[in-house]
Amino acid sequence: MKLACCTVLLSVLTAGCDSGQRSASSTSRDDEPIVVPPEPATSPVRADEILAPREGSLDLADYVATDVTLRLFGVELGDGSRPPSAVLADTTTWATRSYEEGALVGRGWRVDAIGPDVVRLRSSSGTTELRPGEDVRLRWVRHLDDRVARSLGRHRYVLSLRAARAAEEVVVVDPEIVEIYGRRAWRLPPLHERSLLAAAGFREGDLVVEVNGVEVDRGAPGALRSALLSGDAARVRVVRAGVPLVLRYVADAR
Amino acid sequence: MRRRMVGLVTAGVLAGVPLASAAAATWAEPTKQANAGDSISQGFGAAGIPFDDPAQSWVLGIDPAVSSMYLRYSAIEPGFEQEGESVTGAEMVGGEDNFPAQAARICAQSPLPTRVEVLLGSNDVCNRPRSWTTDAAANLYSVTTFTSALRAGLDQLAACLPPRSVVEVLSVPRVDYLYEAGRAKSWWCVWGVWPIAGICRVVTAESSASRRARIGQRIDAYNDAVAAEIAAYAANANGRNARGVGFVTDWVGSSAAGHANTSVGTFVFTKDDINGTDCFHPNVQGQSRLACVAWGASTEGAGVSSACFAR
Repeated sequence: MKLACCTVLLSVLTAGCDSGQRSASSTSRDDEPIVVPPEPATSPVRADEILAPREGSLDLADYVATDVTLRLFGVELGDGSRPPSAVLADTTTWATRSYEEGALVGRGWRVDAIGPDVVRLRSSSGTTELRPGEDVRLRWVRHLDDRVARSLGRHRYVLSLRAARAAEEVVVVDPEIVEIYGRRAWRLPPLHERSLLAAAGFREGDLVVEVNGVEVDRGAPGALRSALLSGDAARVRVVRAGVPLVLRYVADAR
Repeated sequence: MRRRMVGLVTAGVLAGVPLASAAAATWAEPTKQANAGDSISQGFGAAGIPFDDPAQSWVLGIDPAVSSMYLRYSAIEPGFEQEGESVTGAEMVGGEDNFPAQAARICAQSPLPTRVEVLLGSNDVCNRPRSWTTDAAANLYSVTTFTSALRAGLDQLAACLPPRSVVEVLSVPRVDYLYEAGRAKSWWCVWGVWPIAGICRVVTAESSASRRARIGQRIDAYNDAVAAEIAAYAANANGRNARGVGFVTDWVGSSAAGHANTSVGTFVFTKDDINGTDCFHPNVQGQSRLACVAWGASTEGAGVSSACFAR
């Protein structure tokens, strides 16, 4: 009974049956061209601004800084199995990220201390404290290889080929192939933060179903890496937390 | 622009606005709606197929069986438009498509909407790792964090929408109720789909009913925070809504406080309200119930009625 149902679903999935998302009748957002907005302005970095240089790279030409405003949404103390974390949002895009004590905020700042209702950030020039709901303006220093993918939201990314090629490779000797909704999928293993896949927006447990329209097989890890490093636009269909998504990439050759 | 006089004070408005100001309020004509939401608002799986299906969405849908907010507004306002911003997988707090990000996209729309519907929060719970302490909710976002993200979105909408527009923030569904509904729906989901696909493991992998209920209590706390924030914005008691945008919510209190089946957040889903594909998302009937609640709590509705939940 279930297998028959899955067979039906398979044909639907193969047909790429994404429904319209805009208004009452328009086409899928997955088919809309990706318009890449301009990058926020960057400026050169002074050596004393770099709190933690990228390994093996002290050339200032490889670093840029962007003025950003971060807002502390709150502090998460958790269950004790991991350190407390601070949820910070970039008020330009509102993208959030959780930072544990000691984590770098860019390369110019570090989370110095996390208390129940206050977070202290430290740079080479001093410290600043944040309480939930408060903003801090700072220079976000990064190495050009730090950011593999710039998220545009709605599962769309601009991929930096330079950074992608510098990212750690995910070595998968024996990919775990499972079946979901009647289709074969590669379940992603735990991903190191600096791996290509993690930096490109994939998560542990994602079920990769298709890479550029091709169903996955045991060669999926290589196929996915090739697609991301090709310099061409890439579409990767995954099932995340039970819900199929299409992750879309355009390349920034710089 | 024609103004619409609101003659009735809905349950949702009562929850968010002091009686006197709500009764006297006039709202901008509903010309266009936008929404912020996640896979529920995208109608994911509503027809049993594992894809976004906005046609079956409680807010965006065009299927008469759902009787969405869009269709209800269209019935009273010819030419009513919509431009959805919901994104499958979105959270209130986390990621690149969270509520503040979706609110920013709404503010970038042209023309601007005069009605905004918000339903987020389930993924804030489902995306968190399970707790290994006696407190099953220990790894969920704190209420402070949740509220900060909510404010960051509401601040933008209060600043950008035309005066007297209305923002409706629906309460967060109890994912522990969805678990119970899914368990009643299909053993295949419990033992097959949920673990393979990793669906809301914070509750679907939790064997203790009391621990699942603890997670539900945190959702109740989020919803209490939603109601408090909506009240503060509606009355401009926080000084963040000087332009007079309307803010309403459906939340009137938790099931534990005697308000079961009065809002999205207290809606006790049954197996007949969810799809049989992932056993966790509303089907057409479930979507229609959400639409009924949302409409009842809106400024055009007459209050959330028991008919929304009738079996």
